[in-house]
Formats: sequence, C-alpha cells, structure tokens
Amino acid sequence: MPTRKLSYREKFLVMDREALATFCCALLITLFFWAAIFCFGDSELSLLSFPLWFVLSCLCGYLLSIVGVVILIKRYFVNFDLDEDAKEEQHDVQ
Amino acid sequence: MFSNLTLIPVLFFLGCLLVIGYYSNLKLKNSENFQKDYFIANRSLGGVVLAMTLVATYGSVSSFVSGPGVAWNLGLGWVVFAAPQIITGFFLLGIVGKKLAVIARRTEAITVIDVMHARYQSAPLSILLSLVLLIFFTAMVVGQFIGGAQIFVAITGLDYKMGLLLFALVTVIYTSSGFKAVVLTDAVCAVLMLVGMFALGAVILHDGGGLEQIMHTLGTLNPDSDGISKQLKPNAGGALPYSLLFSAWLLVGFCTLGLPQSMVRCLSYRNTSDLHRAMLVATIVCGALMIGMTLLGVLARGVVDTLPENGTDAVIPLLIVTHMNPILAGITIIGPLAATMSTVSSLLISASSAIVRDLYLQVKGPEALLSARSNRGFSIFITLALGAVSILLSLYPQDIVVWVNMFAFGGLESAFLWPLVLGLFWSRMNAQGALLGVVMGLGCYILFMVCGFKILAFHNIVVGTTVGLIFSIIGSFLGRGNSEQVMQIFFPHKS
Repeated sequence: MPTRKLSYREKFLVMDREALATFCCALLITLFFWAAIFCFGDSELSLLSFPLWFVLSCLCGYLLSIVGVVILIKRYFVNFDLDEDAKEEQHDVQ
Repeated sequence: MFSNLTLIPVLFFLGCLLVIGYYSNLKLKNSENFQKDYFIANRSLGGVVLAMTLVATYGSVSSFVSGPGVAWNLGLGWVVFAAPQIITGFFLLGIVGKKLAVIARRTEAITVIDVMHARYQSAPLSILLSLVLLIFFTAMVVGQFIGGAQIFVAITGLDYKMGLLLFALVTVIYTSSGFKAVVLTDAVCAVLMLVGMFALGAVILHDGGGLEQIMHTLGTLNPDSDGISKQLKPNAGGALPYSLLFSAWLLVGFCTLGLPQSMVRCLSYRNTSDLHRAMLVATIVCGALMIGMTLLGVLARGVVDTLPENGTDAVIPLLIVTHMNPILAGITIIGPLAATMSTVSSLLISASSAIVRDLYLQVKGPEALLSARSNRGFSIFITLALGAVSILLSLYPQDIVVWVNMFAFGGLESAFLWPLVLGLFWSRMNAQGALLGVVMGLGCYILFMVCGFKILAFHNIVVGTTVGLIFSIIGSFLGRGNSEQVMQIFFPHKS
C-alpha cells in the first residue's frame, strides 16, 4: 500500500475511523464467541474430537480474529508518513 | 532424574541474551539523544519485533505455568477464559497505536506519562500515575522472579536462591543496556516460548496416546448431572459462572488497552506499515500462545492423571521432568523462563523511565530534563538499582509484595485505561476528570480487592473500570475546558 501525505488534521480523521473499525472488529469477534457458547454450550456434538462449542468459540474465534485483522489492515488502515505533515489544503475534502 | 544436561540449553540461552545486551550497549555509545535511545530505541522498531515484544511482555510466567495448571483441573472451561486474548494482539495497536505515535512525535514524548502530561498538564496526575506504575511494576517484577525461580528449581533441581540469582542477574544486566536490548531479547524470547509450547504439545500428544485417546479419557472424568464430563463444559460444570467470563473479556481482552507497558511500545515503532504488520503477527502469536498453552494444560490431564502434591502449579514442571529427556527438558524450560524474563525486562525499563524522566521532571522542572538528556550514568544506574531491589525482594519474599502483585494487572488497567482512551478520543476530558477517575476507579478496585467484596461474581476489574469511567465523566464536566494548545495537538480535527 502506498504511503499517503496527510496533514496533521487529516491524520486525526483517518485515525478516528481506524479506531472505530478496530473496535467494531473486536466487538464482532466477541459476539461471535458468546453466540457460539450460548447456542452450542449444552450440545453433545463434537468435531475433531473436541466439543463443538469449543471448536466454534475458541478455535474458529481465533481464526476469525486473524481474518478480521487482515480485513482491517487491507480495507480500513491507511499508510501515512508519521514524521512529517503535509500542508493543510484550503478546500477540505471530507 | 535431575541432570546437569538440562542446564546446557538454558545456559546457552542466557549467554545469547547477554550478547544481545552487550551489542545494544555498544550502539548506545554514539547516542546523541540518550534518553530517546535508551527508553524507546529512537523510534526504530520494525513490525515483527514490535509484535514479538508486545506478546512477550504480555505473556508471563503464569501463562506458562499457573494458567495451564488451572486448565488441568477445570478442563476446557478454562481455555474459554483465555480465549478473550484472541483480540489482545490487535486491539491496543488498532485503537491507539497510531495516535500515540503521531502525538509522541509532535510533543517529543518518550514515556506514557509524557503523553499524559502533554494532554492534561497536571503535575499531581503525572506524579500519581508515575507512582502507580512504579509500585505495580516493581511488585510484578518480583512476582515474575519468584514464579520463574520456582519452575527453574522444580526442573533443574538447583537451589532456589542460586536459580533466581542466575537468571535474574542476567535479566537485569541486559535490561540496563536499554530498550533496544529489551525488545530484541523479547523477540528471541517470544520465539522460544513458541518452541517450548510445541515441545510440550508433542510430548503430551505422544505420551497421552494421541488427541482422540486423551479427549476420550477427559470425557470419562467428573461427569456432571447430565452425564457430560465437567472437563468438557464451557462453565466447567458451574465452577466458572458467565459473569466471570464476561469479566475475563474485560481483564485480558478489552481493558488490556490500559496496560502502560504495552502503550509505550506504540511510541517506539518506525512507520505505519510496521504497525499494520505488527497487528497481524501479534494476533497470530498471542492467540496461538495463550489458547495453545491453556489447551495443553487441559490435555496434560491425559498424561498426568493425579494432582501433584504441590498443587496445580506443579503440573507443567512435573510433566517436563518426568516425560522429557534432559536436553529436551532444558529446551522446554526456556519457554517459561523466556516468558518471565521478557516481562521483567519491559517492566523494569519502564519503571526506570518513570523515575529518571517522569518523577525527576516533576520534581526538578523542565530545565533539569535537558541536562538529564545526556546523563547516561543516571539512567543506567536507576535501572540497575531497581533490578537489585527486585532481586532482593525475591530472595526474601514479603507478603505485601506478593499481595500487591496479585492485583497489579487489574490495578494498572483501572488507573490507565480512561486517562488514555478518553484523553485521546473525547475532547471534553480534562485533568479534573482524569484525576477523579484514577483516584476513584483505582481506589474502588483496591478497596474491593482488599475487603473481598464481590458484585454478582464479577471480577473487580468491572467495578474499577465502571467507577473510573463514571467519575472521569463527572470530573470532566466539573472542571475547566482544555487549553487551545492542547486542543491543537490532540484534537486538530475538532477545534
């Protein structure tokens, strides 16, 4: 991903959006985890010799978090220069 | 049973760490801004090293010994408790990783307290947070030393004091070479923690007769009223209520955002693509280690079937001693030792910065800081002195230190979470809010811990963070707004 030149102010707009995306990602993983426990916690089904609820909540939850991070950094996170700020443009593009 | 052969891989490992420390020390010689080099490696960390140092700092001796021991006893329900750590690897980096880096560059901050001071400009708050950090970190270092020495002794058969001095001195010496030495050794430690885990896994699966056999054995233990083994239930047959699981999501999941030893790493990396890479690598490694080690504790039941006389903490050491040949045992024990040392080194260098920079600045004023910049002797001396105090406290353990260590993790989170998160994302947050939030949040957390109060079986971290949040908001509305200068640095898009 190419590094963009952003002004100090633009960096903060980008960073707030990234933080929101990260929080949503963590929240979705949490919900998935609890849903797996509540739906299958009492079931006797098993998979790969483990109880089904365990495979879904812990092992699939782990894989989901990795997929989540890949989506975060590919789709939402922006590369910009940390050390230097671009000049603020007169007409802001929101 | 005990053999000197076990010591060979361990001594080789300790030697390597000293070499890394020596090498980093040489690089410090030509430093132009000593404190920036010494405490945050001149913002030069790459992505993989950033990820490894975060995970190694976070993963402690209890992730390797106590946690798996409890899992041996309770079964898969305890793995569920370790599971929130699937978000720990990316959460902190994704939420505050870039903002801390950008703001630290703008304000020339090299410690977490520096950032807090730039945001709140309050001497009482900076001093309070420095002291909280210093006290909890020192207690945690002692706790790690004691835990590490115990497992070292259990496996090598050395005398406790000998074992402790051996690896504690090595840790303190390489830590005194600065942050670069700390993070490089952390990276080595993280890799060796994984190696130790895989060695343990291989032995458990082999000696237990394969995964299916082990799970079959577990299925016949402790049947619950419905006939399913308690070992295979998410709540361990009632031993682990869901309110406690909710607390675990805060304590080792979301609230790890408030751990200052993790935050400071956000000030030290090179560029944004390093951060992105670190998020991915840390998530993969952190989840694998935390879920992996706890799961191995559960499976160890298929190999070690009766409770060792020294309790569940002895399960993993016993497994290493009785089921591995000496050389392999020596390689595996490096895992928990590495977990101990990498946590200690990071806490020690941060605690040192809290004295050398934060407290010193508050007491002597900003002019003192400029002259302290080149003052390498002072920084190194404080790091060594803190290390020496910690070693002494571990040689002669005091109840109070062991006790403070028990609530250090939640205490740090209760204190640092809201000043950081609200400070970076809520422009109304101010010094009064931060002070009131820290005092009330941390105060309630400690009060509840000391008195043994419980609300609906929640862990007290829920109380600490909730009270902290409420009082941060109240304080912010009572206090004055932030200065124009603070708004321009922290909220340029909102002013």
